[in-house]
Amino acid sequence: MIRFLRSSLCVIGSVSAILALSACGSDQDPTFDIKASTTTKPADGVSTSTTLDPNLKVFIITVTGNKVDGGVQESEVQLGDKVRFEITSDTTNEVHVHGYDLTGKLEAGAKTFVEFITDKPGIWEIELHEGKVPLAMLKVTG
Amino acid sequence: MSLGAILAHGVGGRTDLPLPIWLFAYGAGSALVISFVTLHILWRKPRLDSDALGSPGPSFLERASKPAAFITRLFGLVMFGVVIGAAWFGDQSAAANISPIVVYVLFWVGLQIASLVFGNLWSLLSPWNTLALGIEQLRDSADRSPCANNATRFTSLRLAKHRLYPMEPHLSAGALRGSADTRAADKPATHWPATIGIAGFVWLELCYHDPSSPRVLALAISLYAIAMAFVVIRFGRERLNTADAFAAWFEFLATMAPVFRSENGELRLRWPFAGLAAMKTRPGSVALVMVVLGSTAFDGLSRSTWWRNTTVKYLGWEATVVATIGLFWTIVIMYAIYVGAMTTAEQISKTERRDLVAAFLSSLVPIALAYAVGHYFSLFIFEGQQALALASDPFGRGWNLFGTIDWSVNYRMISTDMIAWVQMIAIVTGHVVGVVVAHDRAVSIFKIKVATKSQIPLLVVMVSYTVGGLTLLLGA
Repeated sequence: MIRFLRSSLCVIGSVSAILALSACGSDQDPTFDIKASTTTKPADGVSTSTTLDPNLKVFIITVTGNKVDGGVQESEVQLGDKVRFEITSDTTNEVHVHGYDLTGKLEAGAKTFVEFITDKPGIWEIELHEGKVPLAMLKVTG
Repeated sequence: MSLGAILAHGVGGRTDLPLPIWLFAYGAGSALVISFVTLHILWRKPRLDSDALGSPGPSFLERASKPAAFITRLFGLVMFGVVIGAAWFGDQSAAANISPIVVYVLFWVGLQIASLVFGNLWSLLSPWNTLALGIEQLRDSADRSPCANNATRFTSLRLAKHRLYPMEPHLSAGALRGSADTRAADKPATHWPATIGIAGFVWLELCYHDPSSPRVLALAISLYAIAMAFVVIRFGRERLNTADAFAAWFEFLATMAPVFRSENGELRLRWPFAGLAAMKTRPGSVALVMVVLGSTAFDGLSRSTWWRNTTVKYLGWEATVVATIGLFWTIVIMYAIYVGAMTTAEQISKTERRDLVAAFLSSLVPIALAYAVGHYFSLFIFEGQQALALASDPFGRGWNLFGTIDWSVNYRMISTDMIAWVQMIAIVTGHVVGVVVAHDRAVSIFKIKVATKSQIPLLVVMVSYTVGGLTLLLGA
């Protein structure tokens, strides 16, 4: 896992991509916001911890019995957007974002956040590592 | 699942953005216009038959070809060794093993494109061909030792034999029937074994649930190598040309290349695509082309959100079965469209359908390649980069042979706009070439009036393939 994370950070290089592995993961992580503020500069409210970043695209995925509730959806974002997947699974597994090479542990019942800035255009699969169950398609245009 | 998803586990999982609707409209529209304009203004006499003969290549090309061929054969053997070695003994995670990328991306996608430019490279790269040739030459030199003159006599005999059977460029209905009869005399080699081989390959790639598993690939390659060894032992090395699935398919593609070797061994040049007119069909050739065409169409279909959501509940072998059914029916539908059109053409032209089916087949080869380029061009560009990285450590031993192990895929090397244009241009170009070749074949077989009418059903097929291909790229 650590090796994987390290290599993926290596791969992504200039882009700050963070993985909040547990339910207490915060979207106000400073390493994350550095890049975000350079790409888009919201006029106000960016520093208050109570306001959600207006440029953050949040996608909520619930997995029951190794299947996504509501079927595999296509999530469309623009290149350079900040995205966050909030994944809740009823079983322990691992989530994997292709191309961005991010993985996150899914604990049964707990919420997992996967956050990153989209810097690679294309349609990318997000899937459960075990069983290779597709969860979502991230469509990055631009 | 899609090829992207296959290789994926760790590296890929990328699908192209859908083609913008306006680009689609341009592509489909121009395909239609070109098709019908062709019927009216193109030549009224066959031209490609003579073009297909080409002209002798410059002498430096002939001189360079020997060492080049030797190096290519050696390279093929080395690559085969690396792939089979990595597949059996390398890191068993697909992302850290070079074999899936070499097989599905460099070999299957890359070599299809390369065959268009450089001709039949596989005949040199093919490890079974090279090994069989090596054994042949060892045996020859053993035979030669008692009587030194034998070798020269052998060569002149072989040349004489070639002159007895000159190339038959005329694929006219009469010639087709004639040549079929001559072949029947010495047990004709069919394309059926090749069709089964290609079907097995695309099944593994698109249907089997874990196609990039190095162990599975190792097993598949080994079984295939044994089958090829059997072909060589039982029928001789020449038979590889038709029995090796890849030799058969790449030979079809290579007819489009500007460089080729005539049957008497001379290196010649000709206009790109002209060689399609001299493409030799055999029993099973139609099925071979249809399997390749259908597999690409199915790959496009299986990337759609609709397909994913319909099949998401199937995992493992169940997914394999579902995908197998999907692939099977895609091929059957493509096949049925073509044969249906030929039946109609048969009634219009009063020519036997069997002859028509074979004569027009070459016009579908550029379309099949266009499909492949349209679907796999970006995969080749992106995953190809991954191959460069893995080349430094093909067996997953922590090596860094070329210092490239840390290279990562640059997904912005080419823009998404560029990808969309390449896809559209590939499909429309394939269509244009297909239509032109079909026209030429038609005027070669029929009188001009009948020729025009006989083409209409085939045009409908091509337009539907082209629009279908573009629609699949449009995404669902």
